[in-house]
Amino acid sequence: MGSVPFWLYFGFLLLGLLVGSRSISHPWLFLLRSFFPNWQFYHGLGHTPRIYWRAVSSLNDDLSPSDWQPLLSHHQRRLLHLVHNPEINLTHAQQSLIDQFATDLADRTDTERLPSWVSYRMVERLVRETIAKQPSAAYQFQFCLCLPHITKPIDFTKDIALQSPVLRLSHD
Amino acid sequence: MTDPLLLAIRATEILWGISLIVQTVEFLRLIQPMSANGVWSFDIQQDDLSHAAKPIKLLFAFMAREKIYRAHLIFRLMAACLLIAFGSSLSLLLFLFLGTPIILARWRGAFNGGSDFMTITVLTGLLIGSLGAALGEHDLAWQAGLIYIAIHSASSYFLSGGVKLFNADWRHGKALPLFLDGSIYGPLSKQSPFWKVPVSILTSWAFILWEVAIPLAFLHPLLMLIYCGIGCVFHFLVFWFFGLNRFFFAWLATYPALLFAAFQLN
Repeated sequence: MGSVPFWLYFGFLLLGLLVGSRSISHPWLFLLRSFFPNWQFYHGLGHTPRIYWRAVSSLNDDLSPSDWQPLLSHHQRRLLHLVHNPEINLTHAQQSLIDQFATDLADRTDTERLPSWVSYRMVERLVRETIAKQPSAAYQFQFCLCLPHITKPIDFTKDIALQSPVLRLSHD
Repeated sequence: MTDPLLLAIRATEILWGISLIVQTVEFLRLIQPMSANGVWSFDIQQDDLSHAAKPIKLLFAFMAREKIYRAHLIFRLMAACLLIAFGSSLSLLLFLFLGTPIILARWRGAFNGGSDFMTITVLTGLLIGSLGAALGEHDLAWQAGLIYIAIHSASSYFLSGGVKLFNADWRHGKALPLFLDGSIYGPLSKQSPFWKVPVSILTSWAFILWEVAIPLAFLHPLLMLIYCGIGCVFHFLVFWFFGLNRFFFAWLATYPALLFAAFQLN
């Protein structure tokens, strides 16, 4: 098969990889982004946004936090999940939400309105939902967005990009 | 209609229908996160539509009501079954196509990344075929629809492999174990063979070369058949190690189009 347009097309794709691309943003493009191709997943080693939370107890007006815990838990692998996998796909969607929150934090300039951002409110609700499921739910808590590099273990003294104020679990 | 075309259309309809059933049943199990108290509550999410015109906001608000959302999913499930049983019809495919952004908007535009796009791509290919057939250009329209699917599927493999080929961490086998270590199933065990550099390099290069070799598979339908066979194993491994089951079905639904394109080009 010697079709010139065929080989030109793949040559054009290769050129596109070398030249790189510009990104455009618009609220509708964000909501309709599944209609546009993006095949650069698992492509480079970089920072991986993660949410951690900790319980905070008050003792004589002093705040005593527990250790940071990861928000998203790991799952058991099962063959049946090939045809029915809602829990794991939900966890993937939750991680996408966290990724979007990290992107918003990097891109948006209206950080004074951060508590009203859709991504912040959804992440906060996800944290509340997760803590409420714990056997001994904390009364007060904090969460943080960390950006550890995939090649290094997390370092809470360096990797925290955003730390929430102390929040009460009962308030939503 | 020529036999290979008929075969490719029916195989695409059936495989894509199965993929849609898998996805829709999962969505039906995930109604709770969409509820008023859920993370994806429309009360929060409607701010994503603050830029939209009022009729659009009202439409999305109506479609986001829990009962309406559930009914919409059930209708999509029925539409998928009809597609498998009786094949494409323009009204059926238009219903599925127009409903897709409404479903995905509830997940802020994407639920499962690349598999969402490939699902839409195959649906668009089926729609091109049905629309053209309705306008009297049956064979030509279906060929265009299948070629459209094949172009996107082939491009996805080629670009995904190309990105890795130009990345030193992938070429040196460093990236694969780190991505596996950070997967949804938890860290790799210290005994995992993927930590061994030769194994990691060999596996990485096997994937990279297979992905970028897609143009060569068009040289003969038999080569494409072998390529698609390896593709089944590749997507199963992606499911097994990363939990991405939707990718398996979304890409399998493109294989009849890839085979048809290889057949046509020869």
